[in-house]
Amino acid sequence: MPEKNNIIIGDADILVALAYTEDVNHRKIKHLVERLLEHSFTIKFPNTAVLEAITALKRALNQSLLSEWLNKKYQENTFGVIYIDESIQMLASEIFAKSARTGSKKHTIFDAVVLATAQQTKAQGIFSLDKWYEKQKIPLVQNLIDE
Amino acid sequence: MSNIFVKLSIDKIYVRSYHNAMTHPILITSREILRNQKQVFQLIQSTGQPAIVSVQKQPQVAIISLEDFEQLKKLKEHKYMQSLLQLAEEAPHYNTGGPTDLSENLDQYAWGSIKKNKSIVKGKSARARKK
Repeated sequence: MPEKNNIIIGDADILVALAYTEDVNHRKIKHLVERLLEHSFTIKFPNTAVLEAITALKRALNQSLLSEWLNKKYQENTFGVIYIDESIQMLASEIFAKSARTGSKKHTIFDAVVLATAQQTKAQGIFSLDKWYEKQKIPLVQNLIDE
Repeated sequence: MSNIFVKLSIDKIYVRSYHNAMTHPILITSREILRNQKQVFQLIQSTGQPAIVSVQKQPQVAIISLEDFEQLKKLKEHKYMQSLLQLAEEAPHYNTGGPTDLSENLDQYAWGSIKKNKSIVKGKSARARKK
């Protein structure tokens, strides 16, 4: 019988913090990944989060080298990816619509995809710097393990 | 006739399998699976020995026990976590002089107006100066 799910869904900000050494959260996130590894968790990124991270790196930095490097890492199958299917997108769409009704302007459909992926995979938590997920009743990694 | 032959060969493999474990898989054809599905599954479950299924003498897929599947899944997940850590360690230092709050304000950097961001405006003019 399969054991208890050990999946953590990663957001784009985590990939950016790991890939971009000048980011203020680079060390902190790296340390949290180490802690997750010790606790036998596995991080999976929705494919949209990978696209978002590559886009952010390309747009924010004056050169595309780092975004190209991260894209190459994706091609090399360096991290676990969950590809969004119709059911996840439909769920994300419902989350996004609900979020828009409650007046949240800050959050994008990509955030909704991360949440929908976590709900669909019955993940133990979400790995993100965005506290919005906590309000959606999914624990953040920072609260799951002792830093 | 064919059925008897398959049964015999499966029995033979069954005896051998205790010694060879996972490193020596059973070689079986898709036709043999169709005819002896129950026996093949029992053999894999009881010995933990995987079966490689061939079609027209070419190996196509492997059948493994659920226990082995869980172990393989764990190994793969562990590998992903290690390579994610390695990604952070190997991340190149390009000295872009870019923003340090990229992970905290990702949406703004990814989808917001570039002109609003000071550091990017700086970069743009530097590039423009080069041209």
